Amino acid sequence: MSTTTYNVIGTRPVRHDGADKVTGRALYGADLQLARMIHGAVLRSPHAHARILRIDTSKAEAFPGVFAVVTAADFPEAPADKIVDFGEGDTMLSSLRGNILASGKVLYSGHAVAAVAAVNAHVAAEAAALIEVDYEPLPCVLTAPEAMAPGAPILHDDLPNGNVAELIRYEMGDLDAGFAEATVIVERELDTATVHQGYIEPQNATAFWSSDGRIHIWCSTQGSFVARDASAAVLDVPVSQVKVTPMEIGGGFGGKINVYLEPVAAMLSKKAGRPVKLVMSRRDVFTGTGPTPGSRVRVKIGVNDAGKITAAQAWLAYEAGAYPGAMVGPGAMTVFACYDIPNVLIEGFDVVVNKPSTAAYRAPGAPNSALATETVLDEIAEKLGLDPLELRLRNAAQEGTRRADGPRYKRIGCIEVLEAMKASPHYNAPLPGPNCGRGVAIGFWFNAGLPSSATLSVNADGTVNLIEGSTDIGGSRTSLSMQAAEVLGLRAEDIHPTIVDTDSVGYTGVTGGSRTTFSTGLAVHDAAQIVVEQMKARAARLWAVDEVAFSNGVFSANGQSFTFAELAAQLGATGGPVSCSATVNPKGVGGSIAGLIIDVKVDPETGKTDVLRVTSVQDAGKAIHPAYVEGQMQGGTAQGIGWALNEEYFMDTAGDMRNGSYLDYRMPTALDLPMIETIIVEVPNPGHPFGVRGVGEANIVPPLAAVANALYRATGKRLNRVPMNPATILGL
Amino acid sequence: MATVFFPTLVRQQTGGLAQIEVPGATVGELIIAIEARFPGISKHLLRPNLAISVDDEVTPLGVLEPVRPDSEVHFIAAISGG
Amino acid sequence: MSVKVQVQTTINNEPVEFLCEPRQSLLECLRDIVGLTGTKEGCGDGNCGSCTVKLGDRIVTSCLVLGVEAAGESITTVEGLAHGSTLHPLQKAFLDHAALQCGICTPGFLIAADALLQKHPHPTEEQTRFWLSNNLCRCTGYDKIVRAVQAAAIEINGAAQ
Repeated sequence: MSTTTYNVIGTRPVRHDGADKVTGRALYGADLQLARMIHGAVLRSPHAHARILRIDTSKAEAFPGVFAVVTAADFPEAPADKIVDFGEGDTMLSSLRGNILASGKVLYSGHAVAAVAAVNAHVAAEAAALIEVDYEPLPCVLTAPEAMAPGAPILHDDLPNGNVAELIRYEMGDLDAGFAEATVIVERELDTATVHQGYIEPQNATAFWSSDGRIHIWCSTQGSFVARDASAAVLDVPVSQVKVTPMEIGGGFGGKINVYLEPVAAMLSKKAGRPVKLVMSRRDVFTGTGPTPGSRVRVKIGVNDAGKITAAQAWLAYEAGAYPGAMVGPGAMTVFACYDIPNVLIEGFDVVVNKPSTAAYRAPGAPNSALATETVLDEIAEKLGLDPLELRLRNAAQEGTRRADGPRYKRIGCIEVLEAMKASPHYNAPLPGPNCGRGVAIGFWFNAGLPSSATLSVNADGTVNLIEGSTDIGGSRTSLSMQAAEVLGLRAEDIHPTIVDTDSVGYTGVTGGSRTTFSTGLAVHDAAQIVVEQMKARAARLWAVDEVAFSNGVFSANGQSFTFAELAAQLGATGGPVSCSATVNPKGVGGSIAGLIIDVKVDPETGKTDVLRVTSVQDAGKAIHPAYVEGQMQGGTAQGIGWALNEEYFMDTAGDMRNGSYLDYRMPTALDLPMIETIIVEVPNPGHPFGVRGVGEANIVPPLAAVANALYRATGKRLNRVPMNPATILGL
Repeated sequence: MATVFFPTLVRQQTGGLAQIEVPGATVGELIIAIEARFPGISKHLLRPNLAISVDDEVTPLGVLEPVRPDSEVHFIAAISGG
Repeated sequence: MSVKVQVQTTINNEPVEFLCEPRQSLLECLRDIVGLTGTKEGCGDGNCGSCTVKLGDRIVTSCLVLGVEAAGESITTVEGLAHGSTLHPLQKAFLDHAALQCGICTPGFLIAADALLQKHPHPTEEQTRFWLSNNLCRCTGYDKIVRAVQAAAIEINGAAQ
């Protein structure tokens, strides 16, 4: 456990962007106003699968107030085999391009077909409705098992295996021998529905294609450089021709890594000669951006009399939506990742279906597969008469445990998280009465590294400006500033962070993969160390000494000393300003284990579930700002509970989403949840100077299974479908 | 010599062989040695959707990553997260 | 395009005059015409609460109110909560309790919570959750928001008797 003492790390300063965000001054993408700016609207397909026979834009172009209309024909052709490297998973340019504006076929209801720019958004919408599209409807296929069946409608002619875009297979040990050793074997199959990240701010993008060829894009994105590179690839221009200014972002959770509107706004601007703003409606967000895959997962686990898992087998089919990329890889890699299992077989299928092209959502792929593993283990614990946490402890992964996909764990906090759950007040409290149940589950997420850059400039008043490129979704300005302050011996308030555009800082990957506090934090740490070295040299020059010591913000040598601020005031006279940059592309990523304990009460008449008590436990490595670590745990838990109990895309047989509003796609409200207790476990990551692991994602992995296990204890029913809503619970 | 583990689906190219010990100072040199033994295999190992893990850490250097004689090399699904 | 209507109203205690089309929502008028972009749009159909403002003595989702309905009314938006450079106790409590992550829902929550505290000076957790259930937050799980509102109630109205 963490024992190092820090001055700043572990405290709870007010976030640097806080005042702007509580007074309404913070500028999000839709808040941008530019001179001569016009507004756009996107026309979307009403069909889930259809051939486009003809698009006639003439009436829209002639409509008063319209400046430009674009279709796929306005964009450069995407070479069939070109791959775009976004540093966090590569994408076929043809898929990216095809999703932005359909050509040839539409592949889901909501697929963008054309866009209009006009004097205001109302006129743009009216004009878009005048675009005539002739479709030849084709049969659609909406679930992975149906899409894998012989004779299923085929989405893409160029996939070698029908609708299966990719097959994943991991094998370890001897599966048959492992199951032969088992005394208890349980096998279950569970389905999950398509769900959405549900960020409150809709996607938006404003673009200006200048007469000198430069393209400036302002947008809501998790990664300004990824938005730049993707837009440049779709527009077939060099990356240096595009500048992306990341506006404040109203939530992302993985769903704001992909680009949807940016290249369209740019092309409209090129035609119109004015800045063009596009903002999605809520229905556009549901039907036109990437939800997370629906899935079918089958898991079989065998355990011997000692409660040791002897063999485990998993079969996973994930719905990619319209284009390949269902996150079945991480689903397969995490399905048994919490446990030390000698004999394993995992098979995963990435299956295209006529639904929106899926995107990442917080630990993408992992909640679906953990649902199956963690409910099967619950059933096994019951059969063995073992406490469910004790069964997990007997099999917990630890340093040196080999995952089925090959690598062995470095230091990992699985045992520590399970012990913390076991010792928690919640786990040791009685349940309040009848129809109540308590469930537990754990989950793993890898977290990510990826490149990050930062610059620190020392001000004469002893404060430091931090220039960085990681969009701040949940307080990262502050978690980064705190790491600079810790190295420099300053207060968090002495660091002034600014997130700048892609022309103004070194390449920085997405705010995703729980990586910002780890990876950009490392860049900030390294830049701060260079600042210290340069400041030491200035002190050495002033004092005419060779060696200067630095500790707790004080430079000293031979009985003389300067505080950081005193030396900062003398920089001008000792050689000029100190401004230091660092870029990292680190190894040393530390995975995170999370656990959940949840109590529910089920009304036997109506099947309604009330959540009574929740405790989220997670290994943070080191919590830089504990309040925002708790916030990540609480937020991921709330999303997981919504996923487990309520959320679902209701698709009709024609593939149209029938609940594309917040009224009908019901996310948890304040009234649906109790307080969410948190226990931060700190098993430092040896790969980071402060031990940071990253906390954004693992917390959403356990809730589906924990809720299912709690519902079983409350109702006696093992449900095989998420969401576990009243209809599922009552068997309707 | 470093040990290279073949992904399950690539073992069709190796006659079912799951792992191999080959000489080399970098991942790239290991792959050249493997390609000599199993011609055509490298395109199945160096794919955009596969990340390279050396000694249990995904390496951003890819084929340029140095390896030691006791190193383990795996090819795993490339992921980042949300 | 239709003929524009002149609307005279009061926003954050200041007289304001603007021209709008009859079909434009109050939210559009505040953001795109008056330039008060602190009020946010999350759904456009009254279900997320991000555009909550005070209209007269009630709170409304401004996406469901027409701009012309503001005539002769008094409106409070998030920009009107602070007194000069001094934050409203709710704003300060949201910062002290880390009750925002992305911040897009925060303006709506602040306006709704301000109305709550005027009606219930010492709301219970249940009352707080019920009142705020018109406002969606996807980042926080509501825990820290509820705590912040209850802390602000004590700051404004003293401890409950």
